[in-house]
Amino acid sequence: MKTRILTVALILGLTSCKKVDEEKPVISIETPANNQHFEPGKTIDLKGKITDNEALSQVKIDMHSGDGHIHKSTKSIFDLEEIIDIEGKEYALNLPITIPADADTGLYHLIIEATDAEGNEAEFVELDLEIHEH
Amino acid sequence: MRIFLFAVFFFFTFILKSQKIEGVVLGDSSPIANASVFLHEFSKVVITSQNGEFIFENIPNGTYHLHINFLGYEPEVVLVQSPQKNPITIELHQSSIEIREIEIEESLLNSINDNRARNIEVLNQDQISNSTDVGLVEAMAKLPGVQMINIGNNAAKPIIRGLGFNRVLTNVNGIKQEGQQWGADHGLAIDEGNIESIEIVKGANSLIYGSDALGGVINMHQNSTLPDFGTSVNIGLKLNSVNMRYAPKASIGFRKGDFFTKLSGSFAKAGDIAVPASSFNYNTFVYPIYNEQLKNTASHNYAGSISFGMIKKWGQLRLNHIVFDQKIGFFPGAHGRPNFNLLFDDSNRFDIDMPYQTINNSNTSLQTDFYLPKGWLELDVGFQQNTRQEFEIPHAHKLGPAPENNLALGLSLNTITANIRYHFAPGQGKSIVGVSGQHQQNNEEGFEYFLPSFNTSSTGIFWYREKPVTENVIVNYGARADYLSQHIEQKNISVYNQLNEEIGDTTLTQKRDNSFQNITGAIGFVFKPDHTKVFKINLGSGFRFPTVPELSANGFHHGTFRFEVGNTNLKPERTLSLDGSVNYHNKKFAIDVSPYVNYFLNYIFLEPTGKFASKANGGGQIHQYNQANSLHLGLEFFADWHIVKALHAELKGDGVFGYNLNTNRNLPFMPPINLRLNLSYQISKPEAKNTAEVFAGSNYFASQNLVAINELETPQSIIFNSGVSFRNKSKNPFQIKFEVQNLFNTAYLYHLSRFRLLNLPEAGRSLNMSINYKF
Repeated sequence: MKTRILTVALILGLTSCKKVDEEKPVISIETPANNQHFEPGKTIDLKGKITDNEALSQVKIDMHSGDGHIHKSTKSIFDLEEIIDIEGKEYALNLPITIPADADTGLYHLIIEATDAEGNEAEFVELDLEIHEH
Repeated sequence: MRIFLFAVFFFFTFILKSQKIEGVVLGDSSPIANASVFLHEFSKVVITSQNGEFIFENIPNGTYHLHINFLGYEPEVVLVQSPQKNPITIELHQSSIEIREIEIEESLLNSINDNRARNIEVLNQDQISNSTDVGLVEAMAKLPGVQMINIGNNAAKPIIRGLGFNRVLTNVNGIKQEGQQWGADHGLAIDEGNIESIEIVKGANSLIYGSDALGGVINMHQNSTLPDFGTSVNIGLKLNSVNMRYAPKASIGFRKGDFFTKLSGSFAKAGDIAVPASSFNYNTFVYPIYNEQLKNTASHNYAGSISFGMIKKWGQLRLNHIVFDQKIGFFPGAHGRPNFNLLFDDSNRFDIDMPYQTINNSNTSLQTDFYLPKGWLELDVGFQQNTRQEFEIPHAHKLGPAPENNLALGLSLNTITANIRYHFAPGQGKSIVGVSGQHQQNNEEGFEYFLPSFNTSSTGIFWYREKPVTENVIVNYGARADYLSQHIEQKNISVYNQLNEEIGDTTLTQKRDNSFQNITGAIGFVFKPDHTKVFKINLGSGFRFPTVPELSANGFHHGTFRFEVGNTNLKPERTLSLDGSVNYHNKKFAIDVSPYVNYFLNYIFLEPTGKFASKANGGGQIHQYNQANSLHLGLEFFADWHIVKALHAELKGDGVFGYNLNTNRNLPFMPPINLRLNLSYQISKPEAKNTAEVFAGSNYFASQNLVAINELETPQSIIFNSGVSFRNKSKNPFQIKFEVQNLFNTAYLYHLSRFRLLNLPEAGRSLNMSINYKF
């Protein structure tokens, strides 16, 4: 422990104590809810907020089939990816996602990721959504 | 080649003069019989006579190292000059401390712990065979200053003084091991069944070893000692309960006259790793671990080696060949992000399903020493083939036609290496001049892309000198120059629209030719005021040419969950390093403390850009290689105490810090401060024919909170181990060892583990056994 304190002191002494942004951005999603069900042809209202202590950089929205692998289906595999440049300390996420009428039914993952300008990665949000016909 | 050897043979038989090295070994002023005297440079051993006398004949001119060992005495290393003016007298000192023995290597470059201003650790054949660890790297990671990146089953990468990947250089039989060292998810492709000894030189040492010798150098040897005369067989078996691993090995040696040969083979099959947890937390989700076993972490490997050698008047020659084939399953949760569906129990502990990787490695080398009138010439040539393939079911994210097979990433690397070194002794001490060259060809294939096909050629030249300044002080110094040229091939891929129609292509990597050069030097001092103390100080430098991934990568690295982009403007990474050590030992106690500080110029690191890669390219945050000056410092120590004659305590520890001076962030993959305590009690007398020992130990890791950007902090942990070993020291020695590792089945996180990212605990309690028998 003593060596550690000494070394830390040495490092701090050698560097001019520049402040480094180590705070991650934070993602909070209002809608949809986890495990929410949707019908093909309907719209998912993705709404939420992304905040950072200094400056945001990008948000990435990724929706794909839940088993993650190629499956032999006659229907189209619904797959969405949006990368949006964002800035400032707060960003209001508002992205309507329209599910194609012929989308393959089943489990889908909706993943929202964000970074700040320093490259700090937010803990991503992963939602499981069910697409099925009524 | 044959004609050349004959020519050399005829030439030297004419000019060789037969000289001898002789002396006497004393302990407390009386002769010691049956002490072993080893002539390091020529791997020759003699046993002292009743009068303590020994003699080596037919020794060419030069300076040589003798290692003298006798039970109950400190091992001694002395320098002798041939021709000798007078027989040498060697005085041994009584001690019950097992000084870390200086193992005997084939090459003069290796191992003179006392005279070279370097810090060296050794694992000898006995320690490698008796260890009950899952692999070679695990066994090495118990030495002070050495850690590992645990990749899973049967695979790990060595970390020396907090530096790993391309900052640690491994030599096998004197030839640099090349096998995509940059990659975070595959280990060192060498099996313990084919290796007799390992020497670890800590600290920057590019003077002798060239590029990549920054954190340290690992020298592995297939034949560190010659087989016994006649035919001898060694068999061994290791068992580990934590992954139901069984690993038999066998070797057969033959020696007659001046010829010897050795054949060895080993096999290891391991099932899924057991962990003391039934779930793990990743990013607010709780994922199940069925049966407390990590799915698809089974592995198996086959390894074999053969060597032929001859020891002649003109010199010696060895031809070695080693093969290694490994198949390792990837934990589906650690190959990209975890997914519930992939974690279901497959009810088979030993199957290896997709995703998995295969590694095939072969090393062929010819090692020769030619005795010349004023010195001797060492010529080593090696050829290596390393193939690494990753197989997985293609993901549905990509546009365009589905891949035809499951080969995601295939890399095949061929390397030819040659080293020529001339050892001679102008005046006192010794000198070495050396030239080395290497040519590499790498090809890539598979439906994922990470790095381009390329070829490189490099060459280096060095000069090293070691000489006594006064009776107690030895100085060593030298200089080196290197040049590398590189040709990187262009990589284009087709681009498809939403209807899966090809609409053109895009370039992922541009064709490029690079060249780099570097000049380096080192100076070191060894001061031995008396036989109980050794002080060393070394001012050295290390360097490393940028690797092709660092220059030209453009893809998702599954090992790190990052999208990595190369930087063609990188310059060689260099370090100025100052390290030293203080060693004190008496009859009952020994301590060794080694601090070091490295100032890195152009340290190469991955810098996050804050931007995302599209998932068609693998996803992840884009990280670009960049360079900055960095500071890296640490300390390791070792203490050894015979509390009473039979009770022996050992305490080792190390700590290291790395700091990027431009970004003001910590360097990644820094091992936490750690301490390792081991107590052993000898049930029988050490000189008895049958000996038994019980032991218990603990390993403490402090918390690691000084982390790089987006790296996780790791809490402190402590684990315990205990065991018993029995040994028969007859003509046909037999040894058996039982050990329980992680005695209390502690769930702990290891900062350098590949599984740390997922908050997955390390392996649980394991009952291990090793058996060795020689006949």
